[in-house]
Amino acid sequence: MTALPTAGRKTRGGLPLLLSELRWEQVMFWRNPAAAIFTAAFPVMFLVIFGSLNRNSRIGFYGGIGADQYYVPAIISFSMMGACYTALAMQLVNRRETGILKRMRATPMPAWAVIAAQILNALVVGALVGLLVGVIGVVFYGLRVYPSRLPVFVLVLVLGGLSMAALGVLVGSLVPNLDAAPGIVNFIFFPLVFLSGTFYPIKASTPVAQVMQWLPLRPFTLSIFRVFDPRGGPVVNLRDLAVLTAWGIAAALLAGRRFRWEPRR
Amino acid sequence: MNAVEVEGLTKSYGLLEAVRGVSFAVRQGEIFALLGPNGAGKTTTLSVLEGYTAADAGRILVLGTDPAAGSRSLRQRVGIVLQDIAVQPYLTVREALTRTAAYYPDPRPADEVIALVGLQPQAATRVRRLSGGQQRRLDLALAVIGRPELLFLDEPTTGFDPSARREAWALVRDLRELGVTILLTTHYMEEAQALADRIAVLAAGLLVADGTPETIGGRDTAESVVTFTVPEAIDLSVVPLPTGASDHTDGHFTVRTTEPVRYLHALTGWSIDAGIAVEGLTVARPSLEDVYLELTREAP
Repeated sequence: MTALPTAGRKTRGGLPLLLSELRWEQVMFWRNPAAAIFTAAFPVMFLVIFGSLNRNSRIGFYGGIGADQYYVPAIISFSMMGACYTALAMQLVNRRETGILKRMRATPMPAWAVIAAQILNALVVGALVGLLVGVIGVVFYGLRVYPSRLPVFVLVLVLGGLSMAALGVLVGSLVPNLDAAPGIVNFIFFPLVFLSGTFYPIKASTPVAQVMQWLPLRPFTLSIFRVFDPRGGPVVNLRDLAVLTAWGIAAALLAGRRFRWEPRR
Repeated sequence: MNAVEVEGLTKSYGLLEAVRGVSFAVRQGEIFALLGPNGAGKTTTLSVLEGYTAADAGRILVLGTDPAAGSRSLRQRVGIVLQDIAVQPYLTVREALTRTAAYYPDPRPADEVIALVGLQPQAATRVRRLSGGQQRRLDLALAVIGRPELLFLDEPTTGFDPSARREAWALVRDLRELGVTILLTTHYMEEAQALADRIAVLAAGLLVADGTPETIGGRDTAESVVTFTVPEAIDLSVVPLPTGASDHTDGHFTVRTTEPVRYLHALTGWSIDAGIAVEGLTVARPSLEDVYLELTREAP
């Protein structure tokens, strides 16, 4: 009988394994033209469209601030949604239905690490695209940044990204097959994006905003906007962060129950 | 210790009883084939052994542990090739193997495995650019990179052309030489005959026979069929016949016997002594195909 392999060299565990997986996930993500273009080019395209349409206009109900100072942060939040919700949900369905997840399950890679590496990858992608949007915003749209608010920005970005990722995993788990994935994922996403004020500002007192403030997208967009809000109000709105977190936790719990490794064929 | 032990494995999907009380054991170091037609329960059985599916009943041990527990240490010791190819499309062959090697405590070097499956020319090619056969070979490479003691292959050559199938067989034999125990499913009789040290035949969820390719289904003790022709002019009642089934028309004899050597001795001795020619003499044992078709036809 052969000696137990565990008696020899040990596998990498925990963080080193996760970081090595993250590196492979990055390689795979950026080599996939469909995912890379959708996730990176869409936010830039929307930034240019909305930025150009609203050049020099001001937002009355936000104290007359320049429209760009709202749009650029909103599109940064959209970048994070695209990477952590849309791209992650599509990727999970794709990997599940093509048997790649099932195959991963046969390796000694722990289940949590398989999922965590993909979520971490989505956060990194979202942050990179958000950074690109921010740099374009500063260079071409005169976005003002407030370095002292950077810690809050990072916190909101990570919290929002994790929340979006939980929703992405949940929706990905509910999608029955590859053909249905783009429809279901986007049918949930785009109406919410429009109604949440991510593509144009919506006054807080309107009925739409009154509803949307309890759904995850509007609190996320507004929380990012506050970091760039030149009026100097409170940078953190605890209720928005609480709503965002609650959605993330609820989605994660439900996703844990609905997640499947094998194709739903 | 056996690499795999299965006793009374039962699994239903709704009203469909996919596997109905199957028992067998795979010895360490052998190639064991689960042979059967589509829908016989081969993949369900394998799926239970791989830990993907929970059995309804039965005692199942894979390398001495229950696969349903899904322990990491068991997954370090078992390699799996599923029926469908499932490899990340955007990595190169070498990248895919390097990545997977990091999951295991004592992996084979990527280049060693690339050479084993003959993918050296494609080592730097992205997986999505590989042909179907090359992807299957990569799939096998990924399954053995962790230096598994036991390898599960689910219909490894389905869809292969004859030469690709022979290459795959050589590869499986190479793996056995490396000390890997192999459990494979197949619906090709010639594959089981060419590769397996032992075979179990499944039909409609039941194990209908097991043994070596030579003895399975009583193949070694089954009746042989002897055929020959004698001149029509002679008195046919003088032709020696064993007790049991035999018949003749116009001097063409078909004789069934469990003792072909003894009977042939009697027949040819009589022919020489009597000076009567026995022509077109043939002796046939049932082929594995005959046995297989017989076994899988009768299953309820």
